[in-house]
Amino acid sequence: MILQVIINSFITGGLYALIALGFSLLYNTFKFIPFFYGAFAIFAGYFLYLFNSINLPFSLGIILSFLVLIILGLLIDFFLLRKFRERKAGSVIMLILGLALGIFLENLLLAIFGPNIKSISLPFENITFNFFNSSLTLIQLIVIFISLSFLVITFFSIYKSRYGLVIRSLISNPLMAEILGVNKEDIFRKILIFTSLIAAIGGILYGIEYNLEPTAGTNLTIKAFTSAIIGGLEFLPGSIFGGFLLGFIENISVLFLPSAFKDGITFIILFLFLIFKPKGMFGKKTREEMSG
Amino acid sequence: MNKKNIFITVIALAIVVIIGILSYWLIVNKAVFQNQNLNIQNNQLKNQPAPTEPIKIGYIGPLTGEAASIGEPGLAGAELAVKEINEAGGVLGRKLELVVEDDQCSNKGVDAMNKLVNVDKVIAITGPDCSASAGPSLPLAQNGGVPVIIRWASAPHLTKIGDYIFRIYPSDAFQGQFAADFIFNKLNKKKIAVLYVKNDWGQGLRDVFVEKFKSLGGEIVFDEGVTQEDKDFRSVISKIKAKKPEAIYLPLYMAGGVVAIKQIKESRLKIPVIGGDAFDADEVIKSDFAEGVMYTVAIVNNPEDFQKRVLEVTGKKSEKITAPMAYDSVKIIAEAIQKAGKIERQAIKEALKTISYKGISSPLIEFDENGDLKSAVFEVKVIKNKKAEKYQ
Repeated sequence: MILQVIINSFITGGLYALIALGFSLLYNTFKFIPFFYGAFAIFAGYFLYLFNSINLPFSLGIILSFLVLIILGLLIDFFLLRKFRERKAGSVIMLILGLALGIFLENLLLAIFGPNIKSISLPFENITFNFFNSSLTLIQLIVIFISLSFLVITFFSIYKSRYGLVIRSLISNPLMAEILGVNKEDIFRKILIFTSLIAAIGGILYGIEYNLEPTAGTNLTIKAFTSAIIGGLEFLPGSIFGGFLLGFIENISVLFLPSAFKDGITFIILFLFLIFKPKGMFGKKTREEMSG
Repeated sequence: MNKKNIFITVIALAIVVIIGILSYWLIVNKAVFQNQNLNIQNNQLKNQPAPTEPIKIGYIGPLTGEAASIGEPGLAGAELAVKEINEAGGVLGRKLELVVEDDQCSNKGVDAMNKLVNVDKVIAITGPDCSASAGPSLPLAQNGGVPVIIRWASAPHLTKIGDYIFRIYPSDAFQGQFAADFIFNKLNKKKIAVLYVKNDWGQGLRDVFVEKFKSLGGEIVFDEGVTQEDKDFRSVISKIKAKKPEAIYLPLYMAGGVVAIKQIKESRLKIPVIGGDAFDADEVIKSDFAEGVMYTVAIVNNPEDFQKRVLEVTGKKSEKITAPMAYDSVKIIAEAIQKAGKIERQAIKEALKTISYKGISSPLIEFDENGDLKSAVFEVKVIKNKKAEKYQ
């Protein structure tokens, strides 16, 4: 049973980690809390469902959903985020914008697809691997594999590549980075494409694992937000750790407590981190804090 | 202050004065209107309504909004009943008249109920169809002393609101008992895990089920609730698996239920799964993982010749079970008035308590001490090849 619970934690945690990564990447570069990110990710699942239901090949459907979500992301940036960025909107305005956008996207899903639950059927058999009285399906294995590989990819691209250096400079001091010749809008666009892609992967995997509901995004956003806080909002690979840790906490809590407390545990963890370690597990003190 | 500003100030003052006079006039006149209404009502109360005047019966149901598809057949059924009664000479020599209110299956039911009880002063009410509307609105009827026959809303607590509340659809309380009896006696499983959704419906079913199952001599080895939004049951299922139950009772809503069924299958927990009537939905039945899943559901008849009659008389379709229930409820109210011998709410309530009516939705409609349908009949359905079949 313990082994099964650990596997379960990796599945749940893997999904949280993926969404949390996109979430904190957006937060760090765009400097606002993207509360619409969960609903945005769920869109990809719905698009795959749509392409599936008009009998497009499954693989083509996935690629198209990726593309559609990237386009949607760029449109949101072009018509909304960019305008607010140009006007140098304050953080409260951006917070409201993120919430409003999330509600808007959810209601858009509700209007287009209706309130009923949609399930994505797979064209291939979802093989179940059994070992030591535990089980793991192919899709779940993919969830774990993708999220772990994104952990590695982001770590190396952010900390070992030149491009990562540019992003980090933009995160720590956007004005200075711009003065030194970083094309901010260009980097923003690339990050948006990357985060849309992560959202698409996360949304599709979520849709396959848990079925689609228009309101599923809110829950996903909350979990991503919590994961990002646990890992440290400003430390990108941390959010992935945070996601996995949240998955573990949730699943292991079920062993000892009634499962209805699961969401409660999530929030207790969130509060504890906000009080005692607001910069997360891996959060470093900033220079001002050290000197002061 | 220049000329322009003075001009604007004057205009603004003038507008304020005009609005003031207008609103005063409206308030005074409204009071006059209301007095007129009151006078009419007082006259009615004093003189006892003239024998020619129709008896008003309230109808509450969803006529717009997402649940309109169940509300329209219901109204057609009620209209048919009224027409039949009136053609046969009415009740106590007077005709019936429906006062129809739309509740959209939401808390708009409160407005509807308020209007029927306090403005239209109906003699009895049929409806609402939905628990979401019935829950907040029924206390108004109880306090106003108007007998109500609820149709489709199944939450157990509704009839406990008071003695004026009756229901012709089986309460979920009976459903839980039926499920316990079925699992213990028919399936012959004595060790059960219960996983339920923590809301009015799920908690209600769980409470009744556990009580009944224990009284039968069964053992509940696992008993936990989950939130309605929860979709990750894998670790709970691992926990259930470790307790080695012989079957799972799973009163979950559709969204959670579909995922739970899938995760149970994936965890290779090969024991019978029995759900509640929420599983009687396409999302569950057409799911890839629902093969062999069973659920309990109330039997409500909607015979074809009745549907034909509705179509002939009202020109509306009535393939939903709300139609025969609405029809029966109006007929029952009429019979209760007849039985009471006078058009008085309290007497009608007393008559309803002892009524025995051969209905269309259920073969025999009698109310128990709570006002619930005595002869609640349920059946078990099993999902085979993405279709729900009667369990043999």
